[in-house]
Amino acid sequence: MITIETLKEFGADVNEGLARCLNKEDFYLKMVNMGISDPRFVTLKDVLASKDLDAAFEQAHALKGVLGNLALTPIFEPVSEMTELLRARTDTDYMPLYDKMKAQYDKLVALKE
Amino acid sequence: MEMTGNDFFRRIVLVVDDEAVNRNMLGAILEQKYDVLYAENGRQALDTLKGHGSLISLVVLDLLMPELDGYAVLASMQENSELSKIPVIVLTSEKDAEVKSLQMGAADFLSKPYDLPEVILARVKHAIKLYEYATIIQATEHDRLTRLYTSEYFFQYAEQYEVHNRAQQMDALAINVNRFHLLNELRGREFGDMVLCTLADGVREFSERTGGIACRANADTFYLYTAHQAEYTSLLESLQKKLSAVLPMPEINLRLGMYASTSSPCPLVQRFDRALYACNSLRNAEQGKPSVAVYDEAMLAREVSGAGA
Repeated sequence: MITIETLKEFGADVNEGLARCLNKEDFYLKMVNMGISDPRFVTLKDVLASKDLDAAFEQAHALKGVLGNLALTPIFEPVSEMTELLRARTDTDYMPLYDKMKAQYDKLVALKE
Repeated sequence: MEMTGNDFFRRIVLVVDDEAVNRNMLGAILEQKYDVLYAENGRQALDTLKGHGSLISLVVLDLLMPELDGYAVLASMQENSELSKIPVIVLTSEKDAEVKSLQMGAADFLSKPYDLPEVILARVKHAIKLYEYATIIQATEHDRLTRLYTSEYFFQYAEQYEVHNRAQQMDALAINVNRFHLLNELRGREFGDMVLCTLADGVREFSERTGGIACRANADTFYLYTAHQAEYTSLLESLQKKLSAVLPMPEINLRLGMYASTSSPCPLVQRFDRALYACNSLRNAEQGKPSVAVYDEAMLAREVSGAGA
């Protein structure tokens, strides 16, 4: 189960996330669960593989915004880096960054069990 | 704490963001102080705005959204006379987007990730307050009939001008119609209003030409705050000529009182009181001929002796 403590251990900036949620722990955890339920964490891989950089930027940018608000730093950082490359439509291999993001994402999702 | 106009009722704020987490988080912050409506994209936002109009006090708007993005919403709002008055705070993490959205009419921006709730609430409150003050000013700044300034705003702006232009010689003029009440009685109020509007147009043209400002001080009296001119008979004559197009000359007698910039300095309001005194001293002036009176030492002595009598 994702709790404030497990989020702290994960590396989220819990104080920052809580502050944005009016210091309501239940509300913050509800938002975290809602945020990581987003299918784009998985579908982004296919979009990147298809080289549709416009669509990839749209998805990465949206995920970055949510992750930033929730202060899920270990996932936010690779997504943020990816977003800036995609903003410039940089022709590069995005898989290392995606894999880095996915590893952290999977780690957090595993805490739900 | 004293209640202000801001506190009488809860305002409505529209939150526009395609991400559910963002909408929920921002909504929770804003719901502490406001009733909140939500839209998931630009299309929904515009539908909601058109449905609620000026009942919505502020829009918090994400920029990158499917269907219709925030920029398109901003552009649409600017094209609508009612919606363009509603302040918009955009949500963005990019400097370029901040500049672009401000240039497109946004009132402010909030960064992403979100600031602290206190910061968000302060910026929203501030934007709403500025918008409501601007609306009140627009509604009360000009006289409904003539569209000249009302006297309150006239004196505010004139005083501001004085502070920043101390070296400029500015005269205080009062212009009115001799026995205007009779004109209303004989020709009716609608006719009287038409005369006032015609006069106001002439006064406005003069003030725009000389770099001054004008107001309708009351009923048929106009104040002009103007750069000093050598004479004002020609102003009255041009006003008389404008009026002669709508009514026979002998029916109307204009008079002008002036308190010159070179006279003894005194507060602005008092200068216009004196200009009006000079103007009204022409009560028995020759019918059909415009009349100008200057408030001078002799008039001051008469006014003082009259008050002491």
